[in-house]
Amino acid sequence: MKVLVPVKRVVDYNVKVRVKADGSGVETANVKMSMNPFDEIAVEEAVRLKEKGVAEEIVAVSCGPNAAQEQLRTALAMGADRGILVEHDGVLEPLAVAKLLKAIVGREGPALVILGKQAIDDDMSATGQMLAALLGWGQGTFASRVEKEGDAIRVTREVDGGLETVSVKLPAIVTADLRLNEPRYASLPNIMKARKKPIETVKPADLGVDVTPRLSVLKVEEPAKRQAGKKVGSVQELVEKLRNEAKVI
Amino acid sequence: MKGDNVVDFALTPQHEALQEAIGRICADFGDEYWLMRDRQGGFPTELHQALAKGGWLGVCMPEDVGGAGLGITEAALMMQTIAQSGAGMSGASAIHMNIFGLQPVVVFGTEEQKQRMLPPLIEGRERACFAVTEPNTGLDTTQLKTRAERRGDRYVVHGQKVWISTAQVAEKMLLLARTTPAEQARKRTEGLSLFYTNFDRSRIEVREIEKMGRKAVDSNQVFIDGLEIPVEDRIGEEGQGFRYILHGMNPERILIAAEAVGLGHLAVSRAAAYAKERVVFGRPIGQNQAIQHPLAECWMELEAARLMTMNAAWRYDSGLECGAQANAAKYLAAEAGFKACQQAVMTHGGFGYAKEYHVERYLRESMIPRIAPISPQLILSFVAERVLGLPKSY
Amino acid sequence: MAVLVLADHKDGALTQPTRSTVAAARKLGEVHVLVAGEGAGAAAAAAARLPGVAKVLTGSEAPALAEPLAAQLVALAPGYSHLLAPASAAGRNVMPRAAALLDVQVLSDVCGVVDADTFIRPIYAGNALATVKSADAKKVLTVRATSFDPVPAEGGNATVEAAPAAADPGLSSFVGAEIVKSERPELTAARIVISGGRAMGSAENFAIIEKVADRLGAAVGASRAAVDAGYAANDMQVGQTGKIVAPELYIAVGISGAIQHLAGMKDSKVIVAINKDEEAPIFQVADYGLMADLFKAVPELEAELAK
Repeated sequence: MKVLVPVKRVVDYNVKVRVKADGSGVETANVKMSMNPFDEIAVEEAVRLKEKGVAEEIVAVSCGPNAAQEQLRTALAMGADRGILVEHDGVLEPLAVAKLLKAIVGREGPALVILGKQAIDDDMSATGQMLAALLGWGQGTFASRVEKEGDAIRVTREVDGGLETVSVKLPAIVTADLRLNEPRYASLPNIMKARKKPIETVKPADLGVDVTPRLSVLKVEEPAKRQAGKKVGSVQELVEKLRNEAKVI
Repeated sequence: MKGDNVVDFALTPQHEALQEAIGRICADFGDEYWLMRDRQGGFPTELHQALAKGGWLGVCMPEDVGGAGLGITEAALMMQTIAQSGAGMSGASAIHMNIFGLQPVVVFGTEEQKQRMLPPLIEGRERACFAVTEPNTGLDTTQLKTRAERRGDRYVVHGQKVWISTAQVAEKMLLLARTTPAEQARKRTEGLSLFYTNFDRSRIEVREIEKMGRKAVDSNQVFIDGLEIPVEDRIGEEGQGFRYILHGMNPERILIAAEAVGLGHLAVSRAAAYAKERVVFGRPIGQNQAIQHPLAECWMELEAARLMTMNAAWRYDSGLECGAQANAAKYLAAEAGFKACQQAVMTHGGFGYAKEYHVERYLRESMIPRIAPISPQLILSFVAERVLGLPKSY
Repeated sequence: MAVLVLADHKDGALTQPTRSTVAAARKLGEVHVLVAGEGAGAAAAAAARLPGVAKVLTGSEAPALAEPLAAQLVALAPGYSHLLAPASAAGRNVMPRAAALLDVQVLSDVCGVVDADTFIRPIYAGNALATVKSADAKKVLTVRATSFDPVPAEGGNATVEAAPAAADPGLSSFVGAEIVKSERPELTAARIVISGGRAMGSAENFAIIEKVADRLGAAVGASRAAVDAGYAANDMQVGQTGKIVAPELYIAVGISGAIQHLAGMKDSKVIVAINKDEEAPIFQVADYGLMADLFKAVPELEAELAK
């Protein structure tokens, strides 16, 4: 089967983001950008499915600026076979991305789309579920284990208080949680091969998708800072303060 | 963009991908790992194997033997990244030799030799040491004394080598030895032959040299007594070994320069981080110009050295003459690296002298690129003679 | 128009985040609650007693799956201006799906209601707060429970009726669940949380934290580093990639205080940090910091609490 893996270009998780002084957003100029970490897990899972002989071809897709080609190259270096860039410079909300991906799914016909459970920039955690809805497919979100079983996929999901297992008919959507796997480091030969793998570029208009944002950002601000409190010298002092000063125990 | 845009200092996306990937591998080997290696010694096998697994040892080997076919530019970026990750020279030296040292085999070896010798090195199954320097000749390489005598289909070798890194662990050796006595050779540069052969410990004695730093990567005296080398392990023509070995000299200078830049930047970034956090007299010490300015100066000198290094690498990869640039890069980078490490120790004050703050280790290691593979004085002499056209002084 | 809240419930009881979501919903209009899934009947009765709830709708008692539940929400949607759910694993699973079916951009993890169209939500792991205005006619949101004081469990008297059945698209089926049975309160609802970090050193060492938790009636959490190291289960993870908690008292033991972790607990009322590293960033957010070896301090704490 063919597997589609959408990947997003985001501010690297090691970067401490700063809110712009004018409150219009966060500073992203001259900041290191990387593939969304959960998307790396999604790519890794697709590559493992290919190594097991379950997947035949892996297509990585990124919706974003031209520079998102770098993230596609990373996916190709990890083992994806080819890339598609849906090039758009403005804001793309999850609903718009889901519509773009639906159009790509229509062209490519994958049996499985694996996405990261959320992007670490807007923290929406929505694109996978929205794509499933638009396609009328089943969804296995927050997956910590994925196994193909005949014409279905068995997904173990991270839920509050433990794990839940669902069986989802193919074609299906899976979103990757942290514990699904540990992504590999791209090897040098694979980085070299990735250079030669094709990346096709399309525009939202080519796919007939309206990506106008539904949300307008009125302001972005820093959350209130917590002040450091006092140091206590002993456990006895701590308990005394919690009992008599903070009155929480 | 104005003009013809022929000069481009930006890293390509591929270079960035390379740095990123190497950086991730190195991130698994933290400060504690290198501190322990420095205390206890022991080859950093784990890093060597992790890099081999990712195909990195073949960065500038040809593709038909399993390499990536990239240039010295990429190898230099890689070595800088390794050193700068915190691994310093302990990490860099562990693989330094393996990624470029076999260029003579790549260029002058037969197809059979390449297929036999290079893949095991790239895959990390074998490690090579580089046996050229001798105790009584120093940098006067043409005067090597180690003898390899032809007897039928083999050579028998007797002699000594010194400062042979990784000889404790290497499975293979690239050996330069005399096959024609110096007085019978037609030219000063002839009469030496190059071999790549098994490190046969039954005929080779290895004595480790206790040294100032980089305990993880051993340096040794090597005594060769009756080592037999089959003729098929000789690289290229008999008597031409010196010419072959010269091929690797400029790349080696470029790589060691990149390593020195990496080490220096590592030291500066540690010092800057410390200066930001360390509060004395009610303010971070980094607020004082006496702390900031020397670090800023170190950064500038390191960047200038880096640009010279990349210039030399680019010239080498473009097939241009690069001797002056490679030597200049090694000189500038080594001095800038040393100064940066020294400044990092001073910035830390007393803590800089404590091992657990790591910078004293960098300072000890920073002597390596200053001294090896060639002294700063010989580089100055080389530039004076070859670039400025001044009379030879030695 | 009324607003609809999709309830989270467990063992026939509503979760505290559901009551917080009702509190957020009350700012938007008359509140109706949809209760579906196993044990929905009992939970519906509890929902009817929440103050400010006008009507409770009960859906299928089959295990809640995203596809039929989203279909159910879509079928009910014409009667509502807003659809809300707690930003729990369940809410985050179903609400984006329902939103897409309605051609609406979902708003995840809302931590403030400005007006009917305008909401505040955290981005970049809580390092920034965005105020966003939705142009969609209908709003679909998940709610960050810790940002809204829950409505009381009792005080209301709503009518309960069955929701009109929606067709199950039959795309997935429930296989099973492994829910950890615990006598301790749920992390997201606990009044006191005590969490361990990588400095705990092993899964076994979490026992010393558990003893303190039992003294205090606290829930036990963990940092991502501790989870990654295999010392604690993933559902104990407090942080941006795990649970967001805001208890009255949060005790961080051997946790350095990575941004990732702070994002999950910095809204706690009182924070205590126990760490032997004076430089640990956790001390910068702690109300009470104790610089000590946790293996000494935590048993001492238990003994002191027993007094």
